[in-house]
Amino acid sequence: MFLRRRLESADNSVNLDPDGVIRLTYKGPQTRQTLRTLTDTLLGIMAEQRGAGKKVRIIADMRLITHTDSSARLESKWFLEEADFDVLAIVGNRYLQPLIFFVLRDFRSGKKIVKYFTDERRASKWASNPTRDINFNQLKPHSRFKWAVVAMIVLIAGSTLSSWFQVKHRLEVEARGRFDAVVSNNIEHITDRLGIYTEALYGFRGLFHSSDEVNEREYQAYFDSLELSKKYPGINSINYNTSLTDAEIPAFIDSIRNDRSLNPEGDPDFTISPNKNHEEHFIVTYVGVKNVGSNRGVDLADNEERRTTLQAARDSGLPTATETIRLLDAQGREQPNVKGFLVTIPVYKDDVPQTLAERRAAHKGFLNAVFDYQKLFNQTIADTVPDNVAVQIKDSSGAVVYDRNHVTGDLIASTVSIPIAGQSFTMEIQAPKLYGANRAERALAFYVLAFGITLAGLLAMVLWLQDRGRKRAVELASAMTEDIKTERNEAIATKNKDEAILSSIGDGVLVLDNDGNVILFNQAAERISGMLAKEVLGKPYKDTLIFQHEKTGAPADDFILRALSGLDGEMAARTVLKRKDGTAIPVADSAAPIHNAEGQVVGAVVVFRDTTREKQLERMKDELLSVASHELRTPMGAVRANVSMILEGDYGPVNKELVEPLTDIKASTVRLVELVNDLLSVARLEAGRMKFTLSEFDIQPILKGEVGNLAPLGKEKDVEIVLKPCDPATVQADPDKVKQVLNNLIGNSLKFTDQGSITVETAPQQDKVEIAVVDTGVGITPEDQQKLFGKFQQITSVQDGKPAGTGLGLYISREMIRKMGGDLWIKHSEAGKGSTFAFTLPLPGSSEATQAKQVIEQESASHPDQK
Amino acid sequence: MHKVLIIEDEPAYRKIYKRKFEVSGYEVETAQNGVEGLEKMRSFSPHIVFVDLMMPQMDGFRFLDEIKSDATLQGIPIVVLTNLSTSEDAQKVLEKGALAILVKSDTEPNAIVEKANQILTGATTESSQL
Repeated sequence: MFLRRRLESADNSVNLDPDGVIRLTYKGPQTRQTLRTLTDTLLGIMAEQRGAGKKVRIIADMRLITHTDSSARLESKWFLEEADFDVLAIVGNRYLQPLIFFVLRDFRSGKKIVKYFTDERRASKWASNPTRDINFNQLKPHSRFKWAVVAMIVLIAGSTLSSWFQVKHRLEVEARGRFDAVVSNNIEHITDRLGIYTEALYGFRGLFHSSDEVNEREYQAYFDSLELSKKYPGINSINYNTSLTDAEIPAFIDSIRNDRSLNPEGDPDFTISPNKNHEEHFIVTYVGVKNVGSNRGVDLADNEERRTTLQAARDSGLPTATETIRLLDAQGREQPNVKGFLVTIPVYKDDVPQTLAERRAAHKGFLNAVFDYQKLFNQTIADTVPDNVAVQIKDSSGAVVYDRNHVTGDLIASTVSIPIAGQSFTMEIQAPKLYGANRAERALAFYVLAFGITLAGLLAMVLWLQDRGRKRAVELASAMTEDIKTERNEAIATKNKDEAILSSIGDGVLVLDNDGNVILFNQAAERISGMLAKEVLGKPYKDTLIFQHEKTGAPADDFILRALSGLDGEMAARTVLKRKDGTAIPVADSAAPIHNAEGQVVGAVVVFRDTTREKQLERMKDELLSVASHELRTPMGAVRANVSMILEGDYGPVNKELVEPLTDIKASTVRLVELVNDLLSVARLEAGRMKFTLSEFDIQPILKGEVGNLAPLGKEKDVEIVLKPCDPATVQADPDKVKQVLNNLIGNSLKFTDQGSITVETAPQQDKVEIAVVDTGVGITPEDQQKLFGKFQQITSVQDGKPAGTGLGLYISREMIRKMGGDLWIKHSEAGKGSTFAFTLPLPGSSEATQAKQVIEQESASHPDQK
Repeated sequence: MHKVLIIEDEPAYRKIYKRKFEVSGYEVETAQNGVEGLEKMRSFSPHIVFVDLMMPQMDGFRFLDEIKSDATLQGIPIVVLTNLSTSEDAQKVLEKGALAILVKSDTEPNAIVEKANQILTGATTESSQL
């Protein structure tokens, strides 16, 4: 529907001819889209019609307006009526160049090909054998293309993902490499550093092993030479602990207080703290940092972790680390937030003894390196590990002792164990997946993905658009086909309706083409003629339908011939139609020409009606009329005869007083009889049922006879009735009717003429004879003349005392004369001076005579039982 | 005395015409239909016959046919006296051998007698008057 709306709204149309030709007119913009849509639409209709087993011809007239404002035409033709292809030729106009393209479609497989030509000659040459140079195997079905596109989308999507993964993976591998390098560097560095620290402790121990006693100055000197903050960053301090028994403590305190090797005053305040009883004491003796030695004298044996570590070191002779401990402040108290560890190395009297017992015996003290985690790791890691990695270090108990740049999410990680003097730290290093990738590298994966997705999306869109286009075309086609179906249904409905109307018409309807072949024959025609439409259709009507003259049986189809020759408005004829069974049926028929839009006669429509019943009715009516008139006359005649005889004395002498009423009765009766006669005449005249028997005769004897008959009546009134001598004149008329008219006219004159004469005279004219009745009577006023010829008109003004008439005489006379081709009129009349009534009769062979003859014959044919 | 046969089914007309012809000096015999008329033709041997057309049993047309087919009855003048007034009827009866046809309602009894007189005396050759 919407296509049609669109088409029609653009002053275009889609029409369906009854013979299955679709006419498509389109005027609109010429775009490839339009052409494609229209082409697909037309092909769709063709396919549908093909599918329905119907042949359809599409004739499309398209004025496609291009931007150059030239017009194009789209035509479609069946080039291959019986072949397997729908061929649609489209003649377009582009850039003022003819553009002819053909769309071929194998309607079985739906394969389609389009051929373009810009040269009309070549196009028509090709069109003469359009399939010649086409290899239909090369044609890709539409669906394969679709799948190809789908496959391409899948491929693109797949390779996109694959590329994306590859890029990502490569980046990840690279990142991992970078990360791993970082990690290994870091561990090496830390291990190295820690190794250096241990080395430092070993070196320091050499100082003690090389001398029996190391005083404060010697210690300080060595300590300073180490340049801890410079060479061993991360070591908080290195202190020396002296191992003492309870007994040795007082002497030790005394010796320290009096050690003036570094400080001239010695350290008089030196004490042991906490001063508790232990099996052995590990007293912090030298701290190596001036003013930091405030925790000199602290007994590390008082702290279990430190004591066991120191004892283990003493026993093993190896550097040993504590677990995580809280570092002490100047007063020897543990600082809650400063965590770290000690690495201690036992100091013996000389080199490290071989056995445990010897080691215990030779043991003098410990050198402790104090590490603050924060300081240590900040120093070591900050130098080596890049900022962009996270580092978390746990001690051997699993507690986190260092945590930097903590990150979450998708990470790469590496966990390494760092052994330090018997303790093991776990360091976990974490970094983002694409660790170390630059922005471009990071974006690459995204770009690959985005590009692939975009490409696939575009292709999908192409596919979708194309599919949608096809769907739309199919929709258009089906909508249009629907339209056409509707239209066809309407056409069929109309046709059915027309046929229903035609078949329900009681009259036989027969339509002829120009050559007189029957092209339509309705049911009533079948019934009347007894012939079936199939026996009649397509043949000349004369072969099957014989219209005959009712009486003579002569062919009577002139009315049809007249219609076929274009004569319009022929009067209905009455003929008989020969039925198939040989019987003849009376029919009333008429025919009229059919004109086309140009006014040419393209055929005729003949209507005929069975008049059997009509005839019966007419006969009945006629019989009724006869019987009625007969039955009326019988009593009237009896009355009239009896009254006459009474008055004449046939029944004996009549009382004088009865004569007048009896005379009145007689006159009335006579008038009644005349009235009945006249009414009967009028009825017959008007129904065309009055019989006229035309003949050619000399008017003279008739006039003579009538004058002679009526002369005696005139004599009674002293009125002379004469015939003016004249030449013989032959007329064509019914002599009886002429007599009747003369009788009427002379009778009328006699009625209104009391004295003088009534003269009958004739005057021959060009093609007729005029007969005039001239009286010297009362005359007629102009007003009365007007109405004299009406029915039941009587001239009341002059009627007093005159014999009454029926008022029908003149009317009947004039009608009869006119029927015979003449006329009757008042030629002259003057009140008091008499009147002249005249009538004419045609000469034989005159046009009036011929016409009258024709009419009378026709009426005679219609009413064969005229009276 | 001339003998006239009136064949008429209507009693009123039989009486009228019988009376008229009697007062006019005719010997009159009547019949009610064509069958009776044929019998009277033979038994009565009229000089002239007046016959109606519309009658039961045998109408005037058939009566004329019967006369025409009986050689013994030929030559007797027959006048049709009827109230049927069409020219066709007139033509038909004249063809069947009637000398004249008179319409009863239009014709004065005197005129009928006059017609009989004319025929019998051969005074006139005019055969019909409508």
